[in-house]
Amino acid sequence: MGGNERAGARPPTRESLEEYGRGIAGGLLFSLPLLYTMEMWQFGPSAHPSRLLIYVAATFILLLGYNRFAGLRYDASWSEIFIDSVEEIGIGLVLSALVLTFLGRLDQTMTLSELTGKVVLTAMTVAIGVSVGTSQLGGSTEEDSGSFEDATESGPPGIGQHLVLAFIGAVLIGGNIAPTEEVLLLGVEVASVKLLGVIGASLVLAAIILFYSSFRNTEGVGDGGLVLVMRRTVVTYAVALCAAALVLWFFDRFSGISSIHSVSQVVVLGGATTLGASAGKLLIK
Amino acid sequence: MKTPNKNPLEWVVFFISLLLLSGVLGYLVYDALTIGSEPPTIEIELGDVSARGEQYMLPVTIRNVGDRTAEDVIVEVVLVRDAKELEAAELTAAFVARDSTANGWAVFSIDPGTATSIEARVLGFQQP
Repeated sequence: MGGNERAGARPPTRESLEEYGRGIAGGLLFSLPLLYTMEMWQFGPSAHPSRLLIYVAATFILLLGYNRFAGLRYDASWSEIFIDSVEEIGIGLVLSALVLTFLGRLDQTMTLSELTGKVVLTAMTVAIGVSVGTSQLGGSTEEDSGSFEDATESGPPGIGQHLVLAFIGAVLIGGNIAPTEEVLLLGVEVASVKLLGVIGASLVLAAIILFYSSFRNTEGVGDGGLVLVMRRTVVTYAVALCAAALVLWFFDRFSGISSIHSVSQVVVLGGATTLGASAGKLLIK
Repeated sequence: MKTPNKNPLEWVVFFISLLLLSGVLGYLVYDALTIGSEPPTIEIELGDVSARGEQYMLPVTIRNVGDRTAEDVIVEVVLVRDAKELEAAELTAAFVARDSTANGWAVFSIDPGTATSIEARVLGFQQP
């Protein structure tokens, strides 16, 4: 799927097959929990088609962003990024249709709207998994010399890139948990005092992952000191909360719910999306 | 902007993907434009009775022709003879999306063939 640096040369078919293989493996790896989740099979057919359209559009934009910042060579053109994103959605649709068929979730008696709802909803997560898998699961070769990381080595990564990657990481993790009934249940049942604890724990976790764990592509405290740590941590947590609210809104978790319970749901899911947001930089090869 | 370097396999995958994606988008747009806002509307169809040992099984098809999903649809099937209730059976369909059907059986100990009429009705359902 990746573009090739050697101008005018096409990548050999074997190489593309390997990339598709990685994509398929990654797609399944990241999305199988969702394909095995009952709420996913039920939500798709019952969602309004315009909600599904928004979901497809949002996934596509997310894929464009991810392929721009992480999935491809740094010098990839927008047309290549577009082609790759379309391919990832296509592979996602086929994979999710296959898996759902094997799991007995699709059959001939279903109407087109039911089939489309089920497949589209799960396929979008598979597509993001395909994208991450293609770029992440491969071993490094000499061809990686044009990667984004190298291009940014000269200076610290910009706040834009930081936000985009944090957001993608948050959605990737949050999207796996948001559709389950458990988030609603926790949102309604966990006392507000304990939620403060969840917020505290999320912030500490973000700081640890961002600065004190030597995760790949993380920066360490450096000379920015405590102020930098606090600033980055708070920004990351804010992105995580936005992402949590967005995926919860998509799965229609706010209608008919009191505002305090809506907020508790965001905080509960925020614990998970914080993990994704802080580890977002891992998604750069 | 440089021309993407793709081998034939990649072009094939791309065009199939493009076809799938535009098909899905086209269908969703069509669906979004044509969908109404009717609440779930449940229709019940009864099949032919079959005897299984001491039990009589009556196939029940629950169809949602409304525009929204119904959850926990409770259906009651009553055997009536001479305006008197002989026996009632109940079944619940966990989830019936719009334009979709759920299948089940109502089970009786009395032969439904001896009833003068079989009445089926929806007792209620939830919105997910």
